[in-house]
Amino acid sequence: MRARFAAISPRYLWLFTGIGLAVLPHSARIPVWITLGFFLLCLWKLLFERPRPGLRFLGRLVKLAIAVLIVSGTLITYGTLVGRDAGIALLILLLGMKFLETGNQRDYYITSYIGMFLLLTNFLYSQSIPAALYMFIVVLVFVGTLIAENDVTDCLPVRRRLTIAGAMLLQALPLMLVLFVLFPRLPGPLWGLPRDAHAGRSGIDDEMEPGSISRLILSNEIAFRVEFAGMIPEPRNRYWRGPVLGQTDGVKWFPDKPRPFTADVAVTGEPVAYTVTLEPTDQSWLYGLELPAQPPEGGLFAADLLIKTAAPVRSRRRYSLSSYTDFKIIERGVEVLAAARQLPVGYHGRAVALGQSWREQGLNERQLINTALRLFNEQEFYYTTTPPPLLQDTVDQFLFETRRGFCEHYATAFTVLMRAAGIPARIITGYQGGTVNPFDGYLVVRQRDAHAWVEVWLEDSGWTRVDPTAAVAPARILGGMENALPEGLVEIPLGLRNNETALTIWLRLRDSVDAVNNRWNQWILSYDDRQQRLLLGHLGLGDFDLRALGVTLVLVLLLVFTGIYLWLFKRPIVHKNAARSLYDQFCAKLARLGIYRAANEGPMDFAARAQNRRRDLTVAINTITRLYIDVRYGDRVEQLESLKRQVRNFKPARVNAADEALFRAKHSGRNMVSR
Amino acid sequence: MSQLTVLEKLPTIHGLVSAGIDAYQRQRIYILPTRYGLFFAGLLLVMLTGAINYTNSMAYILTFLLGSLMLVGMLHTWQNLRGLLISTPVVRPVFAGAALHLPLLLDNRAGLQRIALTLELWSRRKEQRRGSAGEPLTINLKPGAITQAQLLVKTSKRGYLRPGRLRIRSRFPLGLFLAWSYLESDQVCIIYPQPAGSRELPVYSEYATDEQQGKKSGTDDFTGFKPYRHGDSIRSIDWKAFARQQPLQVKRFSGSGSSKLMLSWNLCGPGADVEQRLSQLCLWALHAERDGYHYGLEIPGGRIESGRGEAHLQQCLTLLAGYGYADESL
Repeated sequence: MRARFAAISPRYLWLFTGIGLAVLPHSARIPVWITLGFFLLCLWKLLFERPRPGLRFLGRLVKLAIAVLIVSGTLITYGTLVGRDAGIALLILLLGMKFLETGNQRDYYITSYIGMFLLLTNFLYSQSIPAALYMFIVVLVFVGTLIAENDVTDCLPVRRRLTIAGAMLLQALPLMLVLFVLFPRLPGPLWGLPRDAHAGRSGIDDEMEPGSISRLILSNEIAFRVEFAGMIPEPRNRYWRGPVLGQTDGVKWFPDKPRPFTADVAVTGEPVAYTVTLEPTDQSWLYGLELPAQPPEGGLFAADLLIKTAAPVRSRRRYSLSSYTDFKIIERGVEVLAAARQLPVGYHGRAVALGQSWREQGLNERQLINTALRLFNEQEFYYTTTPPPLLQDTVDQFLFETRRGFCEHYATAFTVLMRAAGIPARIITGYQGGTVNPFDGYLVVRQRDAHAWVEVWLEDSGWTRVDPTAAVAPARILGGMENALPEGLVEIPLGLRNNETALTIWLRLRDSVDAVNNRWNQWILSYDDRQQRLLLGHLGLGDFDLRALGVTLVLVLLLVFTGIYLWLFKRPIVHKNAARSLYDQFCAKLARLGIYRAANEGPMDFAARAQNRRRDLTVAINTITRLYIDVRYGDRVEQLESLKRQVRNFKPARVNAADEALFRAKHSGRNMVSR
Repeated sequence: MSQLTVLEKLPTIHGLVSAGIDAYQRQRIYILPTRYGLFFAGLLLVMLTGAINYTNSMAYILTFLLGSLMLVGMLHTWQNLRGLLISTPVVRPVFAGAALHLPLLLDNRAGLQRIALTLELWSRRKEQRRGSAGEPLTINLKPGAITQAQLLVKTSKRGYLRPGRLRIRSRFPLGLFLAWSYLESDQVCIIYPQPAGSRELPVYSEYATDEQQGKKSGTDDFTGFKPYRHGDSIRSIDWKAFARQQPLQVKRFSGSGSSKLMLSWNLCGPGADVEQRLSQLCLWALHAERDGYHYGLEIPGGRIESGRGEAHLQQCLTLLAGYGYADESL
């Protein structure tokens, strides 16, 4: 087997390493058989290809059979060949096949190009900092792969190839930065994306049933980050309004159909200004602190005061808002209020009966609300992320049997009770709370901060927020998820839970990592046409058009390119500087003996003087001085190596105490020796 | 440092004969994308479209990184040729049919390591390139050193051969660009006729006198020393004196005892054509020199008086090589 590996051409090992590294990050997402298939195809090539003159390694029929297997396998697994996931799976298998049949230079290049493209597709899934660093490593290998192909006499060892590739990568970085900042950004997409382009995002949906919010509680993913201009509002005021659910079929809750705007908003107090960076949700609404005065650019208020966008949010989005935490929503639509009292026929019989019985007791609206909240607070109700499954009528079973639930259970049950008692009520979903990152001061709202609460309509105060969860677990509202659910902190390693110090360090570490990630998101990942316009505005390029930007880009590119060129151009005389620094080392070694070279002293004079001080070093001093002069002034580059060797081996011993003392005296006064 | 001084230094470094260093001028370097470079540009375009479509910042970064690498690669490919000095010492003549070793001195003292430089003869006409006279030569150059290389050129007929244009090219490191440069040489290489023929050395020629017809004798009269000159037979060098660290001396003998013969066009027989005659004369000259004769050469348009030694032989062979090239001058 070893002999077999030894016989593999190093070019193919380079190519295999490159494409293997490009496939690797996908392997966690694609079915195992695809990864296996890819690596089997590669191994087949590496282990069994032998040059057979006049014979092709693979017959046409074998190739055809592999192609049919690949296509049919992908079709069976995904049911399609187009779309993001199926397309990438197909590409990976075809890449393996291309590698298998790589014979000439053209195949070699095409295979590495497909590998580079595959590297790009990884960013459709993750654009994190590790993914970016990984990209640079793989690009380095690909550059080495091309170098291996062009080093036709195989004269460079692997390390040297990597060094050249690394140097090229470093030289390419400034050009890359210029292109990144200045290349005119177009608002995408140019055409329709495959339907699964943004699949797999977790977050709040626009319909709710028991369990749809509590499944988010386990997700530590960030929903959005908020940068406040002034003070951050208190936790109990941090309600981030999402979809408003007023319709139900007895199991699920839905938003109302689009209807004309019938609400009036009255606000008091000072507004809170802030900027939200929303992670992609694939949903067409934005979150805002209750209650924004105006929708942000690109958003519109729906009748239930949700900020709707024209298209789903598919890339990270920044928007600025200012909100009033003290507000009043007055409803003018009579039919809206009537709809908010509707209950589905044949559901929640016991809950409806309970609500109606309160009504018949003659309680007024506020008393009704308090009765319901007291029920949650004083009876044996528990707040938990792992409620028992509800197999019968969800509300009745929760209210009268299990009595263990998460916010959506309480919000749903409360809404049903209110409607049964004749009070218009609706469920609001969104996020509540969030934690402040001490490193950058951003408020971070994660998926586990997802929440559901209720708005009831009261004659005097309009739509009024009531949070039934607060009656059961006030800590959830006042202190966030961490305080409400100590057992729910899934992301804290088990060993740390009982160790106060370790836990603190761990939390601080997590915050600092998150702050770095936030910067990355703010500066790199959300850089788009809007950000580009902002940045160029800051740079004084003002209101630019595409042509001006193009000209600027070309000019700056030329400038950087010239810089790199000059750097390369200057390198041949690097040996002079190298000689100089070696000679400096030599002088420093002499200085340790108390022999200092004066600033105005030439190498020859210094050598003569040094010899007088230390007769025993005459040969070494003369050799080094002559070599230095030869390399530095005589262009004898080939002598550089021996100069290096001589200086390295120049280890003069200190002989007398007087020298020692002089050295000490000089060094106590100053640390630098003049040369 | 001017180019001329570099070349003057060359012989002292490598101990070459100082005569006839023929320098190629530093030429313009051309650079164009290869077809893999064009493919690569296409790939970048596809990647850029993807980045725009998905508004994906990292996809932009990867695309721009690869694009920048392409530009940097172009610079490296160009750098691989830039500042290289190439010169050709005078070419040693060869016999037709043998490979001509075109020596090249690649002076890389001002440069870094250069990888995969390919040298080839590059005729101006495409059809002549196809039946190219020599194999391309691919070499690597160490930094700060002078490298010797030899380009093998096939020869088929005797005469003067002008290597003319050489092309040096490189695609290193990425193969996305090809940089090349032309090197013009006005050097003329001499191709001797192929030694061939069936006739015996015409020792008894009509020109030979009685005295001259005698067999060579090894007991020529020693007449003294003269300093060694390029072309003197190494057999007559006074090696013992050289071993005593004296300069090279050549022993002189009176030629009275040597046989003399005149190799003539007419001796080749009536049926032979021009090339056959030249080949026959070439063979005779070689044999005569080997066997220690004094010999002369007489062909239409040229005559060389009797003599012997390496230089004399070369003079004769050169005359044969140049038969019919009346207008050419060396």
